[in-house]
Amino acid sequence: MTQGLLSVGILMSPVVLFILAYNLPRFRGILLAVGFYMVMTGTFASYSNWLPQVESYPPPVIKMDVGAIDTMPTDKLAEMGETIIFGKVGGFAERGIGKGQCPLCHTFKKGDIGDRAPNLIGLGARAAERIKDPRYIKADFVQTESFKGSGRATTAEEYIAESHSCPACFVVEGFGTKGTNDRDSPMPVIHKPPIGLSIEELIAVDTWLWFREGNTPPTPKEIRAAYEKFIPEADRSKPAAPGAQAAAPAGPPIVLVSDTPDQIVAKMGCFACHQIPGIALAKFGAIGPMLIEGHNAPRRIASAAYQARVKAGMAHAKTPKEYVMESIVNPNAFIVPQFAAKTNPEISPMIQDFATKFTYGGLEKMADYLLQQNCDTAKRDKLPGPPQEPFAEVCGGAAKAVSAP
Amino acid sequence: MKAISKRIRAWSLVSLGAVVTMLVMSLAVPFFTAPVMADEATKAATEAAPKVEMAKDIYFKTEGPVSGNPAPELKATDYPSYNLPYPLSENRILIWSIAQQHLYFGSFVLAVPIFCMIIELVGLLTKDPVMSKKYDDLAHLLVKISLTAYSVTAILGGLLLFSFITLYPDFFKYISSLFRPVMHIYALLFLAESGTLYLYYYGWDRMTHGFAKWVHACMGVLLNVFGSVLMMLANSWASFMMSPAGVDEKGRYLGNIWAILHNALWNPLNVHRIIGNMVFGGGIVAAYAAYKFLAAKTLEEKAYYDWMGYIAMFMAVGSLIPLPFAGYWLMREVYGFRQQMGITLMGGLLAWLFIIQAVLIGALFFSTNYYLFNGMERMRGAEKYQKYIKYILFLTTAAFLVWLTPHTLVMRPAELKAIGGQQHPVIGNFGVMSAKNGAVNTMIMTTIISFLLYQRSNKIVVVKWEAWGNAALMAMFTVALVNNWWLAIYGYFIPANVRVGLSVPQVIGTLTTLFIGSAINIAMMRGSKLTGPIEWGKISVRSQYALFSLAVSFTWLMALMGYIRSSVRLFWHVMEVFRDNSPWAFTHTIGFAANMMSVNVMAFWLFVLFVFWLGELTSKHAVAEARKEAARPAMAGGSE
Repeated sequence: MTQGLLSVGILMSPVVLFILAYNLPRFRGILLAVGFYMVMTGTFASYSNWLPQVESYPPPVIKMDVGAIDTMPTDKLAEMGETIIFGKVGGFAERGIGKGQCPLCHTFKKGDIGDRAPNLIGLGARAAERIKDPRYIKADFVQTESFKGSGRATTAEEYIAESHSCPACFVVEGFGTKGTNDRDSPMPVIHKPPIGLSIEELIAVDTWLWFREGNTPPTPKEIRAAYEKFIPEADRSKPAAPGAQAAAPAGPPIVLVSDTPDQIVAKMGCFACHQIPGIALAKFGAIGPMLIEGHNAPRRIASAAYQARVKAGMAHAKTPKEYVMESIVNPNAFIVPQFAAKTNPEISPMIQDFATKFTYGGLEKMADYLLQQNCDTAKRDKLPGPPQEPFAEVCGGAAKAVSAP
Repeated sequence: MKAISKRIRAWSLVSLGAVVTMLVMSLAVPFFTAPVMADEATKAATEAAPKVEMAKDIYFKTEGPVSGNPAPELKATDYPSYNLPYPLSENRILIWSIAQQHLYFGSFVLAVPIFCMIIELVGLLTKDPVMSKKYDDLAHLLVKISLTAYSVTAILGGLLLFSFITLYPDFFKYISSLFRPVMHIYALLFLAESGTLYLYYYGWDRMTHGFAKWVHACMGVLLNVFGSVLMMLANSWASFMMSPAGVDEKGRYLGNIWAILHNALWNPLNVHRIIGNMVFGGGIVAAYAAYKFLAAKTLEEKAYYDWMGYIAMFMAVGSLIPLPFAGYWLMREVYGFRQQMGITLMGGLLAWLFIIQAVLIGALFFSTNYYLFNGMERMRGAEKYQKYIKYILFLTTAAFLVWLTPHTLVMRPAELKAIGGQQHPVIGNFGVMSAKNGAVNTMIMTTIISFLLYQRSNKIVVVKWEAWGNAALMAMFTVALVNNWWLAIYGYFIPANVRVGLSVPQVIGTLTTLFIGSAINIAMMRGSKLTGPIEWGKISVRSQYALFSLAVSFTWLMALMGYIRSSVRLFWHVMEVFRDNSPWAFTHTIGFAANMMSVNVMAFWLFVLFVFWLGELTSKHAVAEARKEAARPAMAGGSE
C-alpha cells in the first residue's frame, strides 16, 4: 500500500512543480522539464505498482529423515512430492511452481504441449520403453554414465533416477541443447544447485509421478537404491537426523524491520507458545504467557520478582519497551514464575537465539506491537490465555474462550 | 582544393583503418593471451603434479588445477549492515542505488566519446568548412560535458568499491580473489583512459589542422578502445555472477583467468551494453539540447539546439534499432546457459517486468516517430507526406499492443481461475515469442518509414528512375512486412526449437529495409530540388518533450533491465556456486523495484542537471560562435 502511494506521489508531485512554474516565469523552463520527467517516471512506477505484486523467497527446506520417508504412507509421500514440484498440495491443478521447478519446462497434463521438455504424462510406461530404445542402448551423448562406473538404467525407476541425476545421459529427440544435435540436455542436474533436491525429496517426487496416474510406485527403498546408483556418495546431501535442525537453511529466518508483526510471529514461531491479540496464527499457544504487554510489561517490571533479578544484575529493563525487548533477546533475564520449568528454573523454555535472528529494527517493531496489546485487545479476540495465567486472572472477568483445534 | 580533398580522403581511410584495427585488436588481445595463461596454469599444475588437485570447470567442462578457495558459505550474520530505517536497512538497496548511478554515468561517459569520435570524423570528412566547424564544435562541446561526468563516474566507482568492501566483505573477497589480475588491468586502463581523455580534450584547440587534427581524431579512437575494454572487463564480473565459468562446482578457481572472463554471457552482454550505452548517451544529449532549446531566447540559439537535438536523436535511434537484436542474442544465450533461468525471466517470476519493458520500448518508438512527425513541420514541402502519418501510427500502435501482451504469468489463484489458465484464451495468443518478433520488427520498420519520409520532406526527386525507386521501396517494405507477419503466424504451427530460427529471416527483412531502403532513398535524393531549407529552430515545443520522453524512458529502461539481469540470480550471489544467505535474499515485488528505479532515475537526472550546469559555466563562449552558423540552411537527414 505504502509503496503504491509512493509511486502515485511521484506521479502527482509535478502538479506542484507546474503551479510553481506558472508563478515563477524565470524558472518556468526547468520546472516544466523536471515536472515532465516526474510525470513520466511516476507513470511508469504507478503502472508497475498496479501489476500483480509477488515476492519470491528462497525455497523452504523440507525436513525429512530416512526413517520417516521409508515408513511414510504412499499418499503422504506423493503429497510431499506434489509440494516439491508445484509448491503445495493441490499445486498440480493450479499449475504452481515449487522448489523442484519442474513445471518451468515440463508439462504434466494430457494435451499440454511441452515445448522445452517432454510432457511427463505416462512417464512410468514410457520409461520402461526408453531403456530399450536403440539411442539409449548405443548411447552417443556428451555423457554416457552418471559417473564413472555407475552403469546404465535397467528399470523404469532407474531411468527416471538417471534422468534426474544425469540429464545428458539420454536426451529425448528434439529436446536437446540447441546446436548439439540432441547430444546434450538443457536440463539441470536436479540434485545439484540451483535446484539441489536431496535423495529423500527425489523419492517423494518420483512417488508422485507414479502415484498420480494410479500406478503403484516403487517403494522408497527401491527408489533410493536407484538414486544411489547414479549419485555418487560425495554428492548426496546428508539426511537430517530425526528431530535435528535442517542442515542448511534455505533462507535465513531473520526478522527485518520490513516484516509485519504477522510475518515476524510466523517466522519465529511465537504462535507455538504464545497467544497474541491481532495475530490470526497466535490463538492457541499455551506454553508461554499471553503477550498483552501494554498491560503486562509495567506490572512485570514493578513486581518484586523482577526487581530481585535487577538487584542480582540479571535483568536491566527500566521501561516496558526495554522489558519486552529484553524478554525476546535474553529470555533468561526474567522468567515469569508461573512459566519457569520445574527442573531448571534458571533457563527459560523459550528459544534462546532470538538475539541473532532479530534485526534491531525488527525487534523494536515487534516490541511496539506487543506494547499496543492489552486486556481489551485480548478480550476482542476472545483469547483465553494459557492455563498457568488465564485471562481472568490477568485482566479480571473472562474472555469467551475459543475452542482449541 | 582537389589536393586537399585527396589528402583528406587518404587520412579518412587511415583513420577508419585505425578505428577498425584498434577495436578488433582490443577484442583479440584476450584470445591471444588466453592460451598463454592457460598453458602457464597447466604448466604450473604439472610441475607440482603430485600435490595439485584437479577439478572440472562448471561451464567449459575442462579439467584444471584447483587454485583457489571454495566460495564461502555465509550466515546471515556475515553481512554487516547499518541499522538504517527500511528500506535502507537492506545492504543491497544501498549497493543498488550506488551501482545504478555509477552505471548511468559510466554509460554516459563511454557513449559520449563514441559520439565525439564519429562527429569529429564527420566534421573532418565534410567538405563545407562551415559545416565542418559546426560538427567539430559540437564534438568539442560534448566532450566538455562528459569531462565533469567522468569525475562523477570515478567518484561513484570509488563509493561502490567501498560499499562492497564494507557491506559485502566476504563476497568482495571471493570475487576479487578470482578477478585479481583483471582488477589491476582495469585500474591501469582507467588511468590510460583518463590520460587520453584529458589529452583529447585539452589538445582540441591546439590540434586543429592537417596532420595534427588527424592525430587528434585517432586519439578519439584510442579513447574509445580504452573505454570499451574497460567496460568489457567490468562486464565480466557481472556476467560471471550470472553464468560462472572457470571455477569448479565449489567455486574454486581453476587457474585459467580467460575461462572466467569468457563465460557464457560475457560477449552478448558486451555487445548489448555498448549499443545500449550509445542509445542512452544519445538520449541524454538530446534531452540537454531539448532543454536548451526550450530555454533559448533567440532564434539562433533555438536553431543550434534544434540541430543538436536532431543529431543526438538520430544517433540514439540509429543505435536503438539494433538493440532488440542484441537483446535477443543475450536472451538466447541465457536460455542456452540455463533454461530455467530464461523461463524465470520470460515466463516466470520476472515476466511482468518484461511487460513493463515492452511499455518502455513502445514509449521509445512512439517518441521517436512523434519527433520525426513534428520535425517535418520545419520543412516546406513535407505536407505531402503527412497523410501517411495516421497509417504509420496505426501500425505502430497495433504492433505495440501485441508487443506488450504477456504470455505466461505469475498470478494469484483467483486470477488464474478468472482467466481460466495461465494464458488468456484470446489475447494470450499474442503473448508468444512468435507474435513478439513480428511486433517488434513491425515497430522498427514503421520507424524506418518515418525516417525515410523525413529525409524526403523538403525535396523534390529529380532522378529519372524515380518511379522505379519508389516502386522498389514500396515493394521492399511490403515484402518485408508481409514476410515478417507471415513468419510470425507460421511460428504458431511449429515447435519452439524450429520457431527460434524464424527470427533470422525476420531480422534480415528489417535490416534490408533499413540499409537498402536508406541507400535507395539517399540515391534518389541526389540532385533533388529543395522545396525550402530545413528551418532549424522552427519546430514545435511538443517535439522537445518527445526528446525528454526518449531520454527518461531509456533511463528507466536501463534501470529496469539492470534489475532484471541482476534479480534473475534469485538467491545466489554467483549462480549455483555462491549462495546469498543475507537476510535480504528474497526478490522484492515489482512495485518496490519500480519505486527504487524511479528514485534512481530522478536522482540521476538531478545529478545530470548539476553536471550540465557546471558545463554551462565554461561553455557559453565556445558555443556562441557555433550558434551563429546554426541557422544556416541544411538538408534533411543529417547528411549536411
